[in-house]
Amino acid sequence: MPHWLAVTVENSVESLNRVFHLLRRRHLPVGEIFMHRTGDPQDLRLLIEVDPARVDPYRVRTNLEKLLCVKAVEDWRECTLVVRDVALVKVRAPAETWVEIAQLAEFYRARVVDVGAETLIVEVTGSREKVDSCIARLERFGVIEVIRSGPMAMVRGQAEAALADRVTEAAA
Amino acid sequence: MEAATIAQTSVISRTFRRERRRMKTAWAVMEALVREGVDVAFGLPGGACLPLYDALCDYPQIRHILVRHEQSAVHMAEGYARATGKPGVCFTTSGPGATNLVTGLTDAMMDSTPVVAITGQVPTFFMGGDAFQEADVIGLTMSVTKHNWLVRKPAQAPEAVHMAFRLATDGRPGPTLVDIPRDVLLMEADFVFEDPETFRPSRSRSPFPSELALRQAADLIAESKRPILYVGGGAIHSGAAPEIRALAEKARIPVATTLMGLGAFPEDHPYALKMLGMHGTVYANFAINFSDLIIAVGARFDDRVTGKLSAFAPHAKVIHIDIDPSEIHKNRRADVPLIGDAKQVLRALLPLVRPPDTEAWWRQIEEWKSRYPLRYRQGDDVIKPQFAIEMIYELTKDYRPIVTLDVGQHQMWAAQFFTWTEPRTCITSGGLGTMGFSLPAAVGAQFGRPDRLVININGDGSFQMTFQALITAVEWRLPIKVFIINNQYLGMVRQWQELFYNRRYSAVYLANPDFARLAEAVGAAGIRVERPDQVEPAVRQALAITDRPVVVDILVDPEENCFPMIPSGMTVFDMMIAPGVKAVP
Ligand SMILES: Cc1cc2nc3c(=O)[nH]c(=O)nc-3n(C[C@H](O)[C@H](O)[C@H](O)COP(=O)(O)OP(=O)(O)OC[C@H]3O[C@@H](n4cnc5c(N)ncnc54)[C@H](O)[C@@H]3O)c2cc1C
Ligand SMILES: Cc1ncc(C[n+]2csc(CCOP(=O)(O)OP(=O)(O)O)c2C)c(N)n1
Ligand SMILES: [Mg+2]
Repeated sequence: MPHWLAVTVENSVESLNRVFHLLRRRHLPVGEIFMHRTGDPQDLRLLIEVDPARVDPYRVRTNLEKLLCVKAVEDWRECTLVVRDVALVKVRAPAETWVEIAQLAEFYRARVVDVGAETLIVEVTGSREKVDSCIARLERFGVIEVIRSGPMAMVRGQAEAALADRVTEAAA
Repeated sequence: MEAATIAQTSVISRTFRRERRRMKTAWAVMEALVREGVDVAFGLPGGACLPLYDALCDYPQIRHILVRHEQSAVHMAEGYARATGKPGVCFTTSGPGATNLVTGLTDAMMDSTPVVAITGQVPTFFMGGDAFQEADVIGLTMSVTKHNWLVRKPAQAPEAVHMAFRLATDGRPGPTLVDIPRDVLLMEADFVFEDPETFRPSRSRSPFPSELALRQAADLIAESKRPILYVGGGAIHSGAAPEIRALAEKARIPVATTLMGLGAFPEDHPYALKMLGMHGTVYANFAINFSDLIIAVGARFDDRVTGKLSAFAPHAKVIHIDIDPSEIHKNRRADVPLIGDAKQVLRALLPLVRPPDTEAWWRQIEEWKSRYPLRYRQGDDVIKPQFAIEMIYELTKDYRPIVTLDVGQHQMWAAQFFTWTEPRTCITSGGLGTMGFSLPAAVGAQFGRPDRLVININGDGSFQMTFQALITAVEWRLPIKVFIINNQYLGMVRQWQELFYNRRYSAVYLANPDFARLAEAVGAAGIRVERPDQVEPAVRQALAITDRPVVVDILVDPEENCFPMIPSGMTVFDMMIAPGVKAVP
């Protein structure tokens, strides 16, 4: 599991600008960044992957916490997570391949969500590996386009969010 | 009491009534400024901020100081802030007015100086369309402010101004900026004015170390054999000088300060090691590098202090006191981080401290001190810059002057040859090293502290960067003493070319004007000094002039070098005390 910081920010262009601007200006070599809506339309949650061999997660967090538009930063290294990826995969699909594609989809508990003249769109959900594997299997039909959410994650079984303050104390 | 504490209590003790009034936004901005206790602002008007300047006519309690270049407006605000502890304020117009602020804001950001800039912007209906004098001020200043605000609606204006003040001073101080489009400035609305203290960022926290961490720190101190206090600018922001002195005396610990920390510990105290770092004293640098415990107080392990990081103080444990959590572990891993305001943390730590045995350590330090004092040799003919600076110090010290230093060799010599004893008396550009900082900073400092003598030690190169600030000083009859240490070179750069680029001098000679006559031309007094015996009378003459600024142009040895010096990225074992001569521990 990657080491993630879960960062809740204001949902605005300006706030995203500030976050990315900071990461760039501080030359913080973070890994992939994923962005999702939350239950509150005012918020966005970013998952920022940090490799402790390249950058001190404490440094990334304490810098992000200085931004007014950042509402919370949680270090999820110690947490057990539910992680889900969603992908839409458009494949080339003449009618004679439909059955085969549908069977493959079934195997991945994926669904066909659009039927075009010569294409199908398959929706697949699950761990990153499962989604990777499903897309790989669809390759032989001819994948036209893939769009994926990237990992969406949530801490298992906690009534409260893992508060940033607690992590500050631990790191300090 | 420290200036910082005075400023804080005066804000808190003022009583505020919640008020609702109808007015234009520009006037509401003035109301908010008055509620923040602003008595002076530095700036220059233009189209987009005309409503602000119109409103200013109705607020005589805010004195507006007209600059001749907006860069100087921020440096003046910085000088004001550094001398008083209160945020300095500046106003400019959109586009070029605002872009001229960028250097000064960056300077304030690097040196943690509280400054609030208010800029006019093109009207909202033009924004984003390359309108006349439009610049993306929010984008341009995002990385050089703690935060900036674009005010899109009248009601947001007072809140943005108050938040800008809170943020500029809360925690680690720094610059903030409020950008207000012209049409918003002219809109009329019902404004509600609240106690400025009610405006706080929602996530504002004041961290404080745990009892356990404080006890660990006290244990490290008790067990140490070679401790050192490494005191920086944060100690001055915090007003921690008395606590630092108490700790040093209680535990018998030597104290070295950074350039930004000069004045946080009295250098006439027997425990003072003066400045450490690239041009610090030999004994301060030996002491920190051979220490077994560094107690860093509001200092950020800058590369001008550490040199090559991996070789810096290899045997030392570190207690790091800093208010900004992101400074901890940034350059040097801390064994015991104490996150919080330096003064408060030291107050909590002091009762736990048990004095270590530092007898042998002190013998070693005294030996270094006697072997490697700061020195220079003054002959009969050419003025040595160190001599001029020492004379200025000796002849002015009884006035307890506030001194602004520019950037270069003269800055380092002044850091070395003044005896700094009081916080907020040394004002210089450390982090950004902005040539041209010191003259406008002296103007700002004088507005902040009209009761004090303000001295500016400048370089011939640096003086020419923001010379126009002298015109403002003349206009206000400020009795600032400007001493130009004139070596006819961009001296610090020439020194590097001499030492590290085989003496190939490239673009460092300065064909200077006659500074004394230049000063006279704008209405200041001008004095030119060419021989060593003229220095003392010139300083006395300058002190006697109290109705306008004085510029004393002191022609010094053009090729004098500044030592000691640890070349950039090197270690204490590479510390030069003369060309080709290294100090030996
Ligand atoms: C030509 C030139 C030569 C230089 N040579 C030297 C040299 O030889 N030696 C030297 O020391 N410097 C030198 N400098 C300056 C150097 O570049 C740095 O600016 C300086 O060392 C930084 O000082 P500081 O560590 O005190 O940090 P500052 O920049 O003053 O930072 C203050 C620190 O204190 C913290 N802080 C703020 N408020 C509080 C509070 N209330 N409580 C606790 N912490 C707080 C901040 O978070 C920050 O970490 C030179 C500069 C120039 C231009
Ligand atoms: C705005 C700016 N430009 C360039 C530099 C690089 N620089 C550092 S010191 C220095 C020379 C300063 O010359 P002067 O003011 O005459 O001081 P001296 O070193 O001669 O005492 C220069 C050019 C700088 N610090 N700031
Ligand atoms: Mg010079």
